[in-house]
Amino acid sequence: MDILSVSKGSGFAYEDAEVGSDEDVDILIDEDETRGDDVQLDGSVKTSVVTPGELVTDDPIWMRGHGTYFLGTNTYSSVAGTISRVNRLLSVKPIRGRYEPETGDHIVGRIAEVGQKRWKVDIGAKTHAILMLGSVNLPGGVLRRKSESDELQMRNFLKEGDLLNCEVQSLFQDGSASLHTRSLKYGKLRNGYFISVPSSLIVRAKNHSHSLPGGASVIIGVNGYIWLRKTTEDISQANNTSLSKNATAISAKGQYNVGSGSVSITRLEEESSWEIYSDVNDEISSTLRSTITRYANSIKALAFCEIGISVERIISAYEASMAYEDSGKLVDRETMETIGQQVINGEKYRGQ
Amino acid sequence: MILSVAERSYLYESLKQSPPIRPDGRSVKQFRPIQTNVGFLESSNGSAKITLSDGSECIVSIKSKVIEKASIESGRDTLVDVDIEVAGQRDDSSFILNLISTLKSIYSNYISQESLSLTNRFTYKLFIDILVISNYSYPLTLISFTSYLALKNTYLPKLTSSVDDKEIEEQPTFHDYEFVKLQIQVPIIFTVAIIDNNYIIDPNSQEMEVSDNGIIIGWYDGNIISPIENVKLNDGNSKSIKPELIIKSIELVKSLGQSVIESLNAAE
Repeated sequence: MDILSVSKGSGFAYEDAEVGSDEDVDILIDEDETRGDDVQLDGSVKTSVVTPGELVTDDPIWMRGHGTYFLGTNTYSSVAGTISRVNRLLSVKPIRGRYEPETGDHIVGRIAEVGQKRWKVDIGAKTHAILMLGSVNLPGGVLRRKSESDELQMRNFLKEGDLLNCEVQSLFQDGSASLHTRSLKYGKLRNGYFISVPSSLIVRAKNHSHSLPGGASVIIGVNGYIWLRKTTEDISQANNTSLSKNATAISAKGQYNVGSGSVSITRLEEESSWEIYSDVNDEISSTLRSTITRYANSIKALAFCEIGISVERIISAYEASMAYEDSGKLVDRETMETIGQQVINGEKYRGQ
Repeated sequence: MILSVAERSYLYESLKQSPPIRPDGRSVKQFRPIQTNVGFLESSNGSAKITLSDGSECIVSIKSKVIEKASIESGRDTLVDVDIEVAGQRDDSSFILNLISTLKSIYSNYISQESLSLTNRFTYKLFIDILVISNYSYPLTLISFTSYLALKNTYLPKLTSSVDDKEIEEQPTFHDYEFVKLQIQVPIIFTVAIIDNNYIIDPNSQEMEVSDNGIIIGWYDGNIISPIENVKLNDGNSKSIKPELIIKSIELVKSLGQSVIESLNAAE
């Protein structure tokens, strides 16, 4: 059993610099670069990945968007990222950086502040997002009017530090987000464990809430905040309804049950009791706790290897991690690299 | 660090289990993996850097100066001086002053005078400058590990003049380029977090946040040394420690101290 694993740092010099003795290689690289510049100077736009200070185009026809700057007629990239073109607007999307909210994103946030009729939510973006009191389901059903007493007891619903999953409803002029939790699949989070990964690694999908093998569920927030939790009945139901509404509406017997695939108003009212704002966890077995820990470590391994995170990859990393009986092994760099490699290889074999 | 009520209770309940389920799956006596760099600062006598998997980073530089032994005996000077800078903390905050005084006392007690002695009248004085660039958990263990590596890889100028200068007034002179490796035993400090009836080594920020209390335990040359004292690992929810847990924590450190030293020595 390893108590303290020590690995030696790679040093402070760039690895390229060490190869400097091999002059042939250097000359070749230089030629490549000058040739690359020539291509851009034709007035065309460089494609693929650019680094800060790299010439993107010398054609003045382009409008300069985010992540670019210009000197004279030349447009340069100010960040490391990929070039995106929308009509005549040229911008560079940074590879790393803070999450930029977009309308409709399913995200996980943490309450940072309770204010007048609104909560400020930390979503890992440049600014805190806003959750209006009017954009949450309050106990007592949808059709209830919001009163002054609701305003006074906002901390009873959500207080500082609370985690919630929600959707970006709209964006303000300054790029900050307005959130809502007006669906049964959104709301306060409990029964689980929180981890955070770079938002650029999250693969956008139709659905961001999934059940995993082993009795755990995951919410992969588009902002890189991930919540792993115990699968409870209502979660698995919600996952099913969102996955295949029509399939469940026509039940196994071939009958069509009205409302069984969607959420009826009455159910919404029933479930919008105080329970949705409960802070108390259900009974969670120690096996499930270990499973959740293993999932968390698998996700961290994916993030460490800079592999995009999707539910398929989480499951395949989890399966790869089963080779290590002790999930504490997964904190080692070599183990994380091995798992990342296995996930990639697995996808290659399946031809994905 | 701020946690929600449900998150806090999930972490606490997991760590309360027997054996505890730590949020990153480590065992009770497993440290977070570290990455080391040694001897990269050209202008200092010894240097080391440790990076933790959570992004915590600490750099230590060792510098030396020749001083008269008389000044130490008279109490005007000390053999070792420690200076700590932690990002985001004021230099005069009690947190920093506590760290400095803990390290100063442990180093001046356990770094032997003979190992730094030059001649009958002169000795080296070590300046240990510690910079914690980013930290998410209690930094004392990280600092002491980094200082250990730096001190173990310290090279001091080689003395060429005579060692005996009692009779004749003579300034020590040194070789132009040859250095001698400093041969010393260095103490290290462990952090143990107490949660209910469990005790875990090297708590990360989440474990610290939900822990009932914390203990720091010194280790030198195969033995437990002072300080053995409790530390505040979070604001609020501190509880008292059962005496038997202190004994058990000490046993835990005893069982792993030697292997930590071996791992650190291998990193040189």
